[in-house]
Amino acid sequence: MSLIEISNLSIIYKLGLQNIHAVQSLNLNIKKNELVAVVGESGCGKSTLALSIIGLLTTPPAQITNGKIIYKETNLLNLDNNQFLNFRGTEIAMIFQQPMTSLNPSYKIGEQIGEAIDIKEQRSDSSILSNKYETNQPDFKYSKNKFLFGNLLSLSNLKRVSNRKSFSELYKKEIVEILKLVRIPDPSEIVNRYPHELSGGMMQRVMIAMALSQKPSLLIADEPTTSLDVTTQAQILRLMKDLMNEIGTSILLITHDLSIAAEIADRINVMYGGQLIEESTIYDLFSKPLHPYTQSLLNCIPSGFKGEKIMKGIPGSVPLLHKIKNECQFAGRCSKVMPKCSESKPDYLSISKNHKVGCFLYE
Amino acid sequence: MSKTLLELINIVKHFPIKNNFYIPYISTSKTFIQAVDDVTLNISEGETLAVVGESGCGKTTIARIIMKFLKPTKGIIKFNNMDVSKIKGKNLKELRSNIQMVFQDPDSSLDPRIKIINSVKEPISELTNFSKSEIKQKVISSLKSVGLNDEFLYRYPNQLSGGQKQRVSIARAISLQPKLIILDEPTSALDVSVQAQILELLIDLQKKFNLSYIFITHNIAVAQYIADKIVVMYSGKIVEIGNVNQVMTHPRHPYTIALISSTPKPNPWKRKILKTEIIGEVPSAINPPSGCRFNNRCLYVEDICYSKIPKMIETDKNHLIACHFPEKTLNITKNLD
Repeated sequence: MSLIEISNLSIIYKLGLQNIHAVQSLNLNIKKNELVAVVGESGCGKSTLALSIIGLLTTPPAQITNGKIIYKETNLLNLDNNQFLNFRGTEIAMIFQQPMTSLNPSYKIGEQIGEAIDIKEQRSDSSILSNKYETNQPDFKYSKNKFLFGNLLSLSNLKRVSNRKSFSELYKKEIVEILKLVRIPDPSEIVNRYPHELSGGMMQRVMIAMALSQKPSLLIADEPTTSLDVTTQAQILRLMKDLMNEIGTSILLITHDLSIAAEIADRINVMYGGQLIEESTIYDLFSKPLHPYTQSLLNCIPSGFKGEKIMKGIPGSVPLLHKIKNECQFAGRCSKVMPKCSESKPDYLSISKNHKVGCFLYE
Repeated sequence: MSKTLLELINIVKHFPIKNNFYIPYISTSKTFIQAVDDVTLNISEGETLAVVGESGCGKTTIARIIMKFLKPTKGIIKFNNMDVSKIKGKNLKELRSNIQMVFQDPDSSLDPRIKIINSVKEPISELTNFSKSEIKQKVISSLKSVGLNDEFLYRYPNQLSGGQKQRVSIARAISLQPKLIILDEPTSALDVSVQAQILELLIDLQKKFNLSYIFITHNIAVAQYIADKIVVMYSGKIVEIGNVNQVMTHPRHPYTIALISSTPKPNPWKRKILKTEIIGEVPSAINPPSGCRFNNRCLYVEDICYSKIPKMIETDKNHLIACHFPEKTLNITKNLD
């Protein structure tokens, strides 16, 4: 039973006259209490995928042209902005790459976590199940007014801003508890600090605390440790894995680093040029990588001493996604390229029960 | 044994911080960021020295001191047995053409409004007396040796990918045929596939021109791949120094052990970062802990670590660590990996 099932998802960015095909007919599913990693180089569409799940793509320029995202029997793509509020945060939460820019610099840590808890409380009051698609928020059909008035006019938001300071008092116990959960030392003191007074690792812990205060079923972590030091990274990854076991969340980990995926993921999807090219359990992928791209990516990880192993790198650079070509995306850089690679697109085939690959070598 | 090229002797760099606007009348003592404290190291010809450490440990400050961008608070730098601080005028130009640097961010190290040829040309025309056609020949040959052909000469940086830009920076650094190149995190802004290409290129160039590298990185796997010698820094101090084999297979300082065991490895059968025991983060460089600077995170800490600064002890030939209890880690290192 999958928690979330993405089928045939296609996303384009409309830039002037050009369309960038960032995600092309992608299928992905995540089961309950599973850690799934999506690995790929920059510009392969992995962040676009993450944002589309949590409904934060800026449209325009982005546009979802095709596909379904079924989350617990609801198609997230059919929801409008107000309906999505029931899912964002409470059901699906996200941690971003830059903890520094994700926190509001002008409010204290306690106030920001308190606000998250307050939203959770309000939502459970209005009971998500009974009026699943209705919220207490005034329904603004902002078509044009959105940019003029936007959230400012929303009364509950005005109230929230003025109340933000009181949240840290109101939910003091919960805030300290949640900070303890993410192993922040001396939590009652941290509550009264501003984001700039914390280190990068601490801020990322606060972000995780905010996400987890909602007890979401799915946590999307978009490169959560790229801006952190390795010793801090190890602590954050360990924390994520521990919390996953404690709370029972599923995690979608977006990363460019195969080693990080190897350390914590259960299943792994390799993405290239807006498509998945290989997916399998973590053990299968590292024992027998099938796609030439996965093989060369593994060969690019530095290991061994000087002169022991020669890394070739991958010649060329990632494809521009201006148009969908009827060929294998990797054909231009592949070392095992065949004539038919540039004539048609390989099918995405199951090789064994848990192993799929899109390459002509295995047809 | 090859000749020693560069020596740093007891280098100290403290950056003063201005006092808070409101307190100068109350407190007159100046506070300092103790970026680099008592660093001694040397590098021989044709050798790669990797400086490894987390952010804020003073790696970049050392690079800047060697480049003479910063003046050390204390200490001596010797290049070819000459005191660098006393070099002036014509000799300084020669020194500059012998030491070059490649920066972390390839985007900001090239001027967006200058064509590639002019960017690479600048150090040659500034520091030598070659004629125009000779300079152009030199630019072409150094671009060729980093794998870029003539068509890149008249392009602007925005027409290049990140990896190509970093190649141009390397071409600019080798255009004067320096003896020493300082590489400050040259691959951390690049994708792994491009990083592999750049690392291979650097190894090739080193063989070809007999270059010495000071390779600054936070990634210990990269350091292992490229270096002959490794220096591990923590909070402005060297904690471990030795040949790459010694340090990577038998690390002796508790911090090096933590660093190696928290580096992810592409091996799902031997998951280890979930077992790492290190806690906490790098202390502030303004008020570093007294005694050993690692004392608040160390697993083997004892009373003396809070009061006495550890000296460098030689545990093996050319393998030094700064720890009061080198015998404590003797058994642990055998279980590593």
